[in-house]
Amino acid sequence: MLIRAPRDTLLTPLAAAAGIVEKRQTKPILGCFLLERSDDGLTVTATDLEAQIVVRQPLGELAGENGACAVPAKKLLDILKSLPDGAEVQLLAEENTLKVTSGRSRFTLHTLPAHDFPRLTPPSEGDQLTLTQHTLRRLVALTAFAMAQQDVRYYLNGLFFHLHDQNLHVVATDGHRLAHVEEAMPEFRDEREAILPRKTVLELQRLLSDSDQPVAITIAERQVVFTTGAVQFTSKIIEGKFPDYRRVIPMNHPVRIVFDRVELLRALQRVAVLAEDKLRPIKLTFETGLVRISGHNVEREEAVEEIEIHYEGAPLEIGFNVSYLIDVLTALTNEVIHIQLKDSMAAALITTPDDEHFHYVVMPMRL
Amino acid sequence: MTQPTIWALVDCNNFYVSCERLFNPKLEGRPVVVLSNNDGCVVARSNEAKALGVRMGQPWFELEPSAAQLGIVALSSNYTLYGDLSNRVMALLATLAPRQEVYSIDECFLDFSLFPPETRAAHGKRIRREIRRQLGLPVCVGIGPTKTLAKLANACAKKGWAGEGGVCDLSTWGNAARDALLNTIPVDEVWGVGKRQARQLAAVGITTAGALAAADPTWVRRRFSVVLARTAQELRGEPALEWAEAPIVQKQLVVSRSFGTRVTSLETLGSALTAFATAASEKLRAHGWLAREVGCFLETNPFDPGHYYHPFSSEPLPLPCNDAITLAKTANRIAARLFRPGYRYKKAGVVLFELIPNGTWQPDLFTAELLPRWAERQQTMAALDAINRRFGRNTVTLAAAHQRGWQMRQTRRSPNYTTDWRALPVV
Repeated sequence: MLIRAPRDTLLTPLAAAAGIVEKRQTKPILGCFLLERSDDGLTVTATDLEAQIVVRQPLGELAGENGACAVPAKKLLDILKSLPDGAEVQLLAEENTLKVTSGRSRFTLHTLPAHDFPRLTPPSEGDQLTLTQHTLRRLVALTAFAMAQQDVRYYLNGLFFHLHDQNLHVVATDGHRLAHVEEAMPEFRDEREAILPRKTVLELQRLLSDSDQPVAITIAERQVVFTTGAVQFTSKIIEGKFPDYRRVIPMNHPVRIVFDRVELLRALQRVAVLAEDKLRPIKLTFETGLVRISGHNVEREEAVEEIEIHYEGAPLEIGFNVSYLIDVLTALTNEVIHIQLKDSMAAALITTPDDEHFHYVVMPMRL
Repeated sequence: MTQPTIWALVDCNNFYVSCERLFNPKLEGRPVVVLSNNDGCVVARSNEAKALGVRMGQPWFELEPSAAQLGIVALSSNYTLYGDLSNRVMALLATLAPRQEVYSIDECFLDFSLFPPETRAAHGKRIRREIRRQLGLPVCVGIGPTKTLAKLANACAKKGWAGEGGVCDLSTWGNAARDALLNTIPVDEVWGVGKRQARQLAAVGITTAGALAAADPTWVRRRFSVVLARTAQELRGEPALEWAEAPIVQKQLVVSRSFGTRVTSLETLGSALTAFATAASEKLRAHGWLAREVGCFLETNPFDPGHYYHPFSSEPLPLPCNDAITLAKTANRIAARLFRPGYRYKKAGVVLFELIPNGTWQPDLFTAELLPRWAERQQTMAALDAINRRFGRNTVTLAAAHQRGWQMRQTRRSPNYTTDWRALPVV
């Protein structure tokens, strides 16, 4: 295999695939890129066995020779990154090595046989839907922060895609709070569900831009494929039953309080400075015309913030993990948010008047 | 800011032995030990027995051969008697301070905040006098600005390291004097520091309470635990523990007993497990803890002929809890799964895992509908505890615990002088 190309032409596909390469892998080949040159150009593949990214890159007019090899990902990427902008690079694969040359720089890397590279075969069929990158990115940003992390309930360590009632519902929960958003899919009539692993979701967030470029999503029995432009991202699905999110989204809370999102967020961030480090408890005390936000730490240092609100009910005290509130207020971009409450034991509902398709449910804390 | 709490810890000296001596004055001045259930090992020693080198937890079969020669008197534990006397002590103590937290069968915390500093030691002595006069039991009193220091002051009073007349008031000591005292106290005397942790601390050069207090808090937290960092903070006189809050030093809580006779029916096992779960729930509540998981084990005697069967299983709870009903139901459900007919069970137990403080905790969204019921149970249990404190242990219990046939062997037990009409001492 012989490739001649400008540094940036090589760097773009490698950087796109790099995120999925495990830093500490059990098999050397999982730390490699699979490089394949054909008449169509260069194909870069990376995998961690759960997910796979394939990036295609046309190579233009420059001469070369078709072939394939697996090469240590981080080393190749670091070498290319540190070469000067606009440098011309030549990659020459021989028996067990890849020679990288550019100007007066020469590098020899060990390679592994291309046929040893463990490829995931993308599903041949499945339900297909198409969104813009911008929309998918927004749906993920509004929910992904609520995913569980290394929970024994393994089905919570991911993002739930649920095609139902001609809507795409995207849901995440760690058992303490739940974020839900839906997007109309009028042309989609089937029922389909998939839990994407946490790592896939984080990688997806990295790959998506704010553009109107389309993303094709294929949901099959055991895999999901996202295809956009030159990138094809395949991921296994977490097998398991995601909890029924509709059951925990409260619909008839009697109290609805209107907040300026940024004002509330800033107040919470200040109180959070003195909230104890593990459970991060804070207390919201609602009185006529006022909410008092207070927190203290084990050293008994205290923080109190007051915000004027429209509230006329009986005084109500409710505790929360302050991080759960800060997370959602940071993910939202709207000016106004609503908090709906019943009592100090029932889950609170956070919504925004700009988007009736977004729900965030957070369980109060026992104080 | 409210005024900081001043804590007093009142602790009965050699409580079980003192209870026995109350009704059997012949035991005064003699080495007395109280044995655990089934007369297994030593659970309480009189000062005379301690002087003879009898160890806590020493098996009775080791001592028995030489006991007569040494004049050691061994008694089976009589928890009915101790429980009743404990209730009387606690009821009396409750009248001697504005607030009380019963911490175990023989000790409780009292709120001394309202007593002016110069009167605290005198009030401690009054408490000692009243309990001696009204109930005939010896107690020591430790006073301090934190629970951990009050506990340590109590140990000082008991062992004569500081204070006088069975009362030690560290709340009035200056920091320098207190640190000097702490530097002379072995670290394993500190509340919440176990033998094993003391060894780990010794390995990094911390052998005294003073050294633990002086250690860098961040380092203690990183190297050991938040719990130990809070203990160190308390030793410095900065409160970290509130009312009804004890350091969680253990990861699990076990209540198990060997049966007096072999048990063969699930019904009898279930009754025993209900009683164990009740006892475990009482411990949880006394410490202000909740458990997230319940385990249960059964055991046949490995020395009996036939197959040795000793299964264990556990279940996570939908909500962390400390109520006897939920714990007993769960333990019984597990036992029904583990039970195999045809075996002769010798022992069973309830194990509670993942203990968390019942103060600030995060309930789960998907079990939220159970929360109102949970809160009701908390009130039921508080009422139950209040009745049992006032009228004696096990006044109100779960009916399922009353199927008999598993009780322990207690061949050396004293009569239930205070709770059984038939056992009234005759003059």
